[in-house]
Amino acid sequence: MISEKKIKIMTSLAQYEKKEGVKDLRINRYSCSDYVRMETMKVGVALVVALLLLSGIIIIFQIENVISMMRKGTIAVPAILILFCFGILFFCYVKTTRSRAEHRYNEAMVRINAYERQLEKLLEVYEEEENEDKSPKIDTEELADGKIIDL
Amino acid sequence: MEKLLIYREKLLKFLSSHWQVCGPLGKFIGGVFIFYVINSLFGYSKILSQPFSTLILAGICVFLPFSMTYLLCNLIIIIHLSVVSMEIAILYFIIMGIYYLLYQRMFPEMRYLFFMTPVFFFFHLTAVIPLFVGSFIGITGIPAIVMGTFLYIFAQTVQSGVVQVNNGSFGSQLYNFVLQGTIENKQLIIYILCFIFVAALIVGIRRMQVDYGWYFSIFIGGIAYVTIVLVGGFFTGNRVDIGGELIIAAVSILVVMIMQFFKIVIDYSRQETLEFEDEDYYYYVKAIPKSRVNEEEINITKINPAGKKFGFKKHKGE
Repeated sequence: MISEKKIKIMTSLAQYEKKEGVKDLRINRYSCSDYVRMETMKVGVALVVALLLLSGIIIIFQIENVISMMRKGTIAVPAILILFCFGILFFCYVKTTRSRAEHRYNEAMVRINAYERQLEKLLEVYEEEENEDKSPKIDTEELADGKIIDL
Repeated sequence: MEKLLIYREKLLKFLSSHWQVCGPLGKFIGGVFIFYVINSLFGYSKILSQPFSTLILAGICVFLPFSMTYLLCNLIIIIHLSVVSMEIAILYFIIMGIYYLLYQRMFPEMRYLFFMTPVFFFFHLTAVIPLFVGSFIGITGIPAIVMGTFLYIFAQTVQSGVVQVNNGSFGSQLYNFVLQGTIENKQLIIYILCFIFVAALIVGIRRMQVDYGWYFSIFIGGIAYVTIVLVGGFFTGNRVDIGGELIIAAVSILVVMIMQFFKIVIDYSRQETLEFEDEDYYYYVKAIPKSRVNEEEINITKINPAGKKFGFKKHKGE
């Protein structure tokens, strides 16, 4: 027989698994510090690649100025300036990423706890169903002399 | 006001009950707008700039998640640009790569803002962009609209470069002209500064939690937008149509206020201020109820008197 309670729990579990659950369960594989470290590392790599691309564009479009500066030996000034700006940007990004990652991890844990509670409820429903008396019932029978036999 | 609230409730109810149709239809219409604007700004590929291509692409978007639509839009732009010059297409690809690495990767939900910006620029509803971001997104949405503005000015610069190439009056390399022209564009600088200021101003006013702050902030943001664009145009020597900008701001304020109305309406006249405490904190709580009108509250009875076939009278029931 269909249990309405079970269906409700299973629907909410499926909805969660399909939406936020995908990300949350992935986050749940790491400890908080590992997750934050991994996110910070990703941002660091992304920033370095972005810097390289940006430097490439600047060099290509200002190739004449770059060559003349290299000849004069004044290339160090803009290079230091770019690296300084990159350093500040890197620091801000890492700070922001760390706090965002921590926040995201904590939020995911709250949702996962709720998800686990739902799972426990579902388990309880299954246990209740298993413990129910499922032995066959025999109906009362009335004999010809009016005597009722109730087994 | 009550009637407006009833219509709002009816519309929202209709949308939620028919979401299976309205959702894809909305996606299709949004796709048509985005691809129409992309094809108008970058229409260099003859096949892709045909109206049927726009409709087909918009139709494809109905079945795709927005992340894929975003990629598709960028791909279409790169194809258009590669028809003009492969260097410009590569340049666009690199710029988008940097944008992705620095911002989009961390805020993937802001993708739609990036393409929404050129669409509103195209339809001369520029002021909607910062008002929308300030009201509904917050400061995190600013880089997306800045990049969207860059995209629009970039497209205009490519257009002027192509015109010059076709006229034979072009001397230097096209990609150099496009990048220099975009970065040094005074209009771009004014719009970026204006958008940042207006969005930040709206966020600031909303955080002050004053009564009617949501609507007040939109209005103030609209005024700030007009002021900055006019003053910026004056100092940079750009020609600015004062009447046009005022109309743009007025229409934009109206559009964002309608959006706000459909998002949430609260009844400031019934607000309550509560104070209570627990072991660790003392709480000051300001609770403002949402305005809701039940359809059943107003009962309209139509009576058609006999003999007057086309005469209708409406009576409000008790």
